[in-house]
Amino acid sequence: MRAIRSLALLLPALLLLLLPAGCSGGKAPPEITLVLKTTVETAEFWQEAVDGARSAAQELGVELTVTGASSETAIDEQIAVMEDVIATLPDVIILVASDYTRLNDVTNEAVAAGIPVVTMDSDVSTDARTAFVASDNYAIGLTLGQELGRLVDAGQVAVLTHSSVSSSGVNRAQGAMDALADSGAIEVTGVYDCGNDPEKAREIALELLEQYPELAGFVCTNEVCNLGVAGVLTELGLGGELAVVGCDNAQQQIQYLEQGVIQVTVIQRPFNMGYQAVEQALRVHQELPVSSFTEVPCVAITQDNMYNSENQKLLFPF
Amino acid sequence: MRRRRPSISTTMVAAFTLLVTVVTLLISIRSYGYTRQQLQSVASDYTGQLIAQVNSQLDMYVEYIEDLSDFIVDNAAVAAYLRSGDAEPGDVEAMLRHAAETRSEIYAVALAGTDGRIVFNDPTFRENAYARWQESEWYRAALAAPEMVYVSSSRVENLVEGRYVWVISFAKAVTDGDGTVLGVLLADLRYDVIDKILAGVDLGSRGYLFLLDDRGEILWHPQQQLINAGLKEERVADVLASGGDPVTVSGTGGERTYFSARSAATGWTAVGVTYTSELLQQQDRMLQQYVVIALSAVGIALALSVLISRAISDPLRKLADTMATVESGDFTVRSGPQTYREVERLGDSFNHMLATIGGLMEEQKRSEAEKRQYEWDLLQAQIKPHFLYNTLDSIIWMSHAGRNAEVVEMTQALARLLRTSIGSGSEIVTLRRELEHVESYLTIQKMRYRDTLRFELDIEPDTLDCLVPKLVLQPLVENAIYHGIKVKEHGGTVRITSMLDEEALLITVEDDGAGMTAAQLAHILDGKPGDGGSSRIGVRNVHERLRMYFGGDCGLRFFSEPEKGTTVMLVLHRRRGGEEDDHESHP
Repeated sequence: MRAIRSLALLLPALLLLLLPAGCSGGKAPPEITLVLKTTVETAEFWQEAVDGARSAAQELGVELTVTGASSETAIDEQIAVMEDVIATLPDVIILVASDYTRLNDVTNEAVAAGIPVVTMDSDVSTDARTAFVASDNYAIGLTLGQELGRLVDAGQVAVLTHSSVSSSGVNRAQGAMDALADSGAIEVTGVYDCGNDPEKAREIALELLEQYPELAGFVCTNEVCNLGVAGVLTELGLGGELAVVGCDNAQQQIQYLEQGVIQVTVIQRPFNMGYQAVEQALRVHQELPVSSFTEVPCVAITQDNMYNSENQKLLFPF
Repeated sequence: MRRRRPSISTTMVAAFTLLVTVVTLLISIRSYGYTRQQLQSVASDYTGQLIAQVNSQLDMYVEYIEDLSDFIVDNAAVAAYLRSGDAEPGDVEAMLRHAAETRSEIYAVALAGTDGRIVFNDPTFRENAYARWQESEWYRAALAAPEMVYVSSSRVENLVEGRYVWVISFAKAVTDGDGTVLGVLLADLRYDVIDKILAGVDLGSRGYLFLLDDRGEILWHPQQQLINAGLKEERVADVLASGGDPVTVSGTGGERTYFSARSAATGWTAVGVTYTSELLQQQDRMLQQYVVIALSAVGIALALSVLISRAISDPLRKLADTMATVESGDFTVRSGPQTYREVERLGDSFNHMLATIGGLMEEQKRSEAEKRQYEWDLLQAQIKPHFLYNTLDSIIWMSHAGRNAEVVEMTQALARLLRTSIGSGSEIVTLRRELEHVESYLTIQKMRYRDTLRFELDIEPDTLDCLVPKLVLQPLVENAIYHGIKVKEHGGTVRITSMLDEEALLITVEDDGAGMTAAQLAHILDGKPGDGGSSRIGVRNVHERLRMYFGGDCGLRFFSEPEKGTTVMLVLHRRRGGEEDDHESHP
């Protein structure tokens, strides 16, 4: 009799214990907000990064919100966007900083509010941010230099950069210079800044061809420099005569690559960058160890391998 | 220490709860297991159906390109164009346009001659001079196997100048009647068609579908870039080796299952990936529901069993309370009406028993009173002849001695005594009458015992009309004479007093005779026959009758000291009579 009574008390108690086990399924997913330089849809590079971020969010079970300023140069607007995001108290913020120093304060503010910040593509100078996920511009520069070194055995080459002030322009040029210096027989005539202006790029290319008739090749740090050089060479009927190593994957660049005017283009992987940024942000949220810098490696693509199943997918975004 | 016995209600509640809990648990566990199985097989079936759907849609394009190539190959204009080497492509172009127009998802249809000429379905398309299509896989594969439709993997079509479009290419060689290969027919299906086909596929929030071509390479994957970058791997080898059976693997992001099916027409394998955790989430929700249901069932059972056991135990408890009242002496209470038949019967039996016991008690009381009366009557019957005999003896002696006056007095007193004692049959008389009676008795006794007996009456006039039971004084006086005065050498005095004390009437019968010891006093009311004879029985009888008439607080009080005398006090309730004497005179 006593046994029955204790059992009668015990079994419902056991059932009660099962209840929270059944309820535990409803845990809210971590919330991560991605703050871009620009949310304009024509910015293909960023859209691909967002695709990667969304892909990671879906796979890792993260609730991702994407926001940003209206243009890459609207720094104050991005600061205001950050303020708004901090007010919504997400678990982690991924920031693509439009300025290396001016977003420091708002980054510190977020961290002070208990929201870790992970930067993507473009860093801030404050130590408050937890991790940085980007392509290494210096590594891109090195690849550019190495690829040109493979195409040109000896002679003069020129390095065209899109900026002598932005970190991407400076670091890529430096990487290329260092790689070419290693090759020995190659002489670099100089680093020329086109200020990201297509016309200026053409002018510089023309001047260089005139100044150095023996010029054997060009290193171009981005699409604008690259198209300027390729355009001039095509017009002068010199397509394929000089070695051209460029950056990025604009459609016109691809055509030049097919035609043999450009031999190599080095491309970044924005999709992977977005994906890895979310991955790192989640690790930060889960308090797992993260490295302060995650490199998203670049890829060099040539005429011969451009239609490889792997490379065509990098070259021609879906 | 004695263990407390379990109550009916606790036992019932416990038993009910145990029963319901066990049954609910068993049912829940069984249903849960069954539903879990169902969920898994539904997920498997569902994924299988989706894969089959995707495959059948892709197969459709293979059939389309086969039909188209058959049509074109049979067409004389095409053969003529390809053979001639210089004819205008107008007719061929129009035919290709018609073929492409039927399906908007076709990006381009092209006829590529072995001589290097190429005709598109769209006249605005210009050939990309740098395309190097003769080196491309579709062209070479179609030439190598002229009877087969070549299906490419996903690729970027660069045939048209300035356009780079993701497509899946279908290619088939065009031959003339004698088997000479004239060219290759190419149809490019827009790659995003697969997106559209696969977009409608729902494999949970995390599940997805991907396609493998016949070489086992990933043809389409929602995270193609990650696969290329080596950030993500699919267990392609395992899936292909499984031959269509589900493959479950664990990895980052949790356990997942691959369901796959191969299309014979395209050679492609569609692979669905579902995450076990999502299935488990549903299971968790289910488990939660089962637990809630089980708990409510147990709760309801608990409430019901409490109600039922109350219904049984409450009337029993009420009955027990009634019995407790009876135990304390109250036989008038009765068990009230009951809701339940069984308890009602029990209550009725109880009431019947109470009635019987009550009747028996009444009977007992009455027979006890009757017994007293009989005893009294017997006593009277014993005394009277004895006393009469002695008195008459005394009268005889006195008349022999010639003491006529005394004879008269004694005879008168005897006559009065007899009259009052026979008198009416009434049990209650006034004190006046009782005193008359005892005075007659004392007169006779005094004459018999001459100078040894003296008596005094000290009566408050107010008390004369009070009612007393008949013949209560005479036994006491008799007792005083026989046990107090008669044993003393010089005789003694019997003194009778009466007074009122608030509600009580107090009458004392005093003697200054032998008195009694404390031990004797203690047994004075025991009234054992033989110990003091009939007078003692008389005393006890008086005591009993006083208590019977007036209640437990009335009766006799004795005060005595050896050699000093005895005082008996009658304590009665004060009741006024007067005329009642005559009123109550019934036989």
